[in-house]
Amino acid sequence: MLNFLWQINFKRFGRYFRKNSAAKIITVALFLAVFCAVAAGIYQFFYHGFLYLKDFPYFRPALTLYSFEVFFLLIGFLVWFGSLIALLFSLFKNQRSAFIVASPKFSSLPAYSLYSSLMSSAWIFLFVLAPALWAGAVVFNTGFWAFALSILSSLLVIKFAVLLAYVLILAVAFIWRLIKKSGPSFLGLSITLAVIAIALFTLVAAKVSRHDVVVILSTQNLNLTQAPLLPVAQSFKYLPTSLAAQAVTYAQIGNLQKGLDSFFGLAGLVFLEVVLAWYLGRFFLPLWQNLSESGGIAHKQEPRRKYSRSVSGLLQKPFGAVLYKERTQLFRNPKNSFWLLFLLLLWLSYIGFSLTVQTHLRMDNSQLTRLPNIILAMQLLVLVYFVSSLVLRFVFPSFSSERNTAWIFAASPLRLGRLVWAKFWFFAVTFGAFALLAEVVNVLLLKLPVGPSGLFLTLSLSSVLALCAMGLYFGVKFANFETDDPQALGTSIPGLVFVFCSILYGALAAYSFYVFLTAGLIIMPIIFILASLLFFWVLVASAAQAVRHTDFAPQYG
Amino acid sequence: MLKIQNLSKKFGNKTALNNINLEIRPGEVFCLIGPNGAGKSTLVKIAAGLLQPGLGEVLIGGFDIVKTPEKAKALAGYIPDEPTVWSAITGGEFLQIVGALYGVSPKERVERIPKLLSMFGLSGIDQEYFEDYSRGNKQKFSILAALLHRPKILLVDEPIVGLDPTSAETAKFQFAEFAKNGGSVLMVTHTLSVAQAIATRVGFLENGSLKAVGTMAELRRRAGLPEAATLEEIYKKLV
Repeated sequence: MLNFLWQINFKRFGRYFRKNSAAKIITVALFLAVFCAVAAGIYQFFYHGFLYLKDFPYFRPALTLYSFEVFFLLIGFLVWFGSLIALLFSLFKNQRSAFIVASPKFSSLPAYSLYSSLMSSAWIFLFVLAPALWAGAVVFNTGFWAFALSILSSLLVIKFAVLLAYVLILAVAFIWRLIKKSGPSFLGLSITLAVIAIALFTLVAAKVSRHDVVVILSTQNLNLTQAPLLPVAQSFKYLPTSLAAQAVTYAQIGNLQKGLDSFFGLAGLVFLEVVLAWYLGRFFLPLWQNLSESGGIAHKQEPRRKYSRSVSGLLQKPFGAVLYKERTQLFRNPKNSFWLLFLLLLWLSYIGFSLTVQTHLRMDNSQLTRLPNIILAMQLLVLVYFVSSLVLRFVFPSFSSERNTAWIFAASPLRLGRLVWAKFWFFAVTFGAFALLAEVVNVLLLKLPVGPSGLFLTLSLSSVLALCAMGLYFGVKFANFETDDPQALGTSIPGLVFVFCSILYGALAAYSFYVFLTAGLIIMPIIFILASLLFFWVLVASAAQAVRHTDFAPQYG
Repeated sequence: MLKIQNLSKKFGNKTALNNINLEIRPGEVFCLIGPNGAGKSTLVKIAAGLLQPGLGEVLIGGFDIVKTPEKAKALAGYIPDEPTVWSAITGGEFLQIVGALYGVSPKERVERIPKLLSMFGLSGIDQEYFEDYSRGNKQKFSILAALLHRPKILLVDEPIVGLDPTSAETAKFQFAEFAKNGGSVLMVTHTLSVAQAIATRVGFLENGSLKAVGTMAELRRRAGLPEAATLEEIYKKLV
């Protein structure tokens, strides 16, 4: 059965290129180009970082270990949380899996979901971890075996993160079923996993934020020629990713034996996870049956006998009805909530990072007087990046994903242009509120003066408007009713063009703010804000015009 | 109520509809029958405003579905073959949203929705989420949604699929009553017994062209079949 499922996937991949093959080859090539550019950027970052460290032989090993500890922790968390979401839904909410569960080979479903996640996590190894390790190998002239050990350790840490997500999902469901015979509901399981994720994030963030590199690396023994690694390793010892960081660092400084010790420690943990995964996988069927029973939607209510005579304020008019639908669909869907939580945790990590950098730079700003301005401008770039991630995930596919439900709006007397405007205002206001909240917290934490704060917030809000408009424009203009999968819709040429445009837009926004901070030129950000406002209006109006000529059910019948 | 003139539609090189001319008057139940892929659903979807007509025009109550879509659509109620609704919306919310889209006042909605719900035995389950409903219940909600704003014409695509026998009977009765009260019904169906029971006229569509249109008696005569011939026999003879 597993072979059969793999064959289906490979054939689907082949079929992808059969229709519009030239466009799809270009899309794949462009994505590969983007990934290669990311890999090159990471290589350059680590290459120059390691070169810098090479000049400080005393600190080099300890700082290398510290860099890898933080790097593996971040990557491990991203892979773990991403896998948690992907696995939760592919295990228990994949509507196409019912035929496998009904077959005698039902046990291949969890195995297939796990293998798919393990395979799809390979990209982060290829394009993020491998370039960093390669940079280390080039700078420190690492030998073959040491490099091989680094590669294997980083591969293992990625697999560890995916397996941890898999085991956690099944373990929570399994324990729940032991306590309560009827087993968990999908909503209950989702909330429990979200709480665990938040708790782990808070715990690790609290621990890591207390680390002070200066204290960790302070000279304890004047006879030493190199700062010891132990204090750094001790600071991260409670994290499994630390084993990979130690294996890589020891391999790079030529201590293969210690590197192998850490590697085998990690391999032991992975083996333990495999055993647990195998054991828990045996209970998959009853868990699937439990979890498929309910809808998995927040605030599920018991059926009631009496019809409510009150009508929500939004449901008074057609425009409000669209807003009501968008709001309900966005916030009641557990998958959407998980992605929002994921982005929120990333955002919090970034705030923590910039706070740390800001504090350290204020301590020593005589040498690096221009860096704080760059960091403030970078805040805007990061905001644009986060908002464009949200837009690509939610706004860009919002029109195409109406594929099967388009009949409700398209057959109604609602002007379709108003549908576009309603979608725009819903997302712009929602994401604008999120952005405003996050940025107000940011400027308060960074203790920005009132003037720059106001400008920063205005730039943030105008960016949200422009990005939502851009995402909606591309989504409507190049509507794709072949799929309703937001990820598949996002990874298309229009999605890619949107990503490029938003990166460019973010760079312009950050630059205009940087010019204001350094040269006091307020005209640039003002021009940028006015252009953004004009830009959003033109884009949404064009999308509203284009929607009039859309076929909402392009299948033949 | 519904007037289709010289309507053609192509999907790429494939002709879905070829020069269709049809008029459905108030009080009529017109059933469109034909093999799979004949273009029946395409015809209904064009009339409902989901697809752009290639050539020709479609008028609902005298309003062109392309030039004045808002006015034309306000007169129609559409029941799709696949009643897919947003998964996180309850049945009650769905009816409220549709009511708002069609301009039904909140006051009228709270009066009318409970009556419609009880008609199909859905009272008490309107607070459950759409993804939890059976296919039949989803279909019932889509029928109620189409009736909510008191349309002049119903555009119906396979309404009986998935309905239990009692609900199928109720739906059949509702469509017949709707026509009796002056409404028009354009219904695509493969359930020939339903068509035979309620249709005032029947059309056979094949390869995008209307092969025959008429009352049961006219079609029997055309097929050269006796008075007792069923719709199935007529269909087999003419298509």
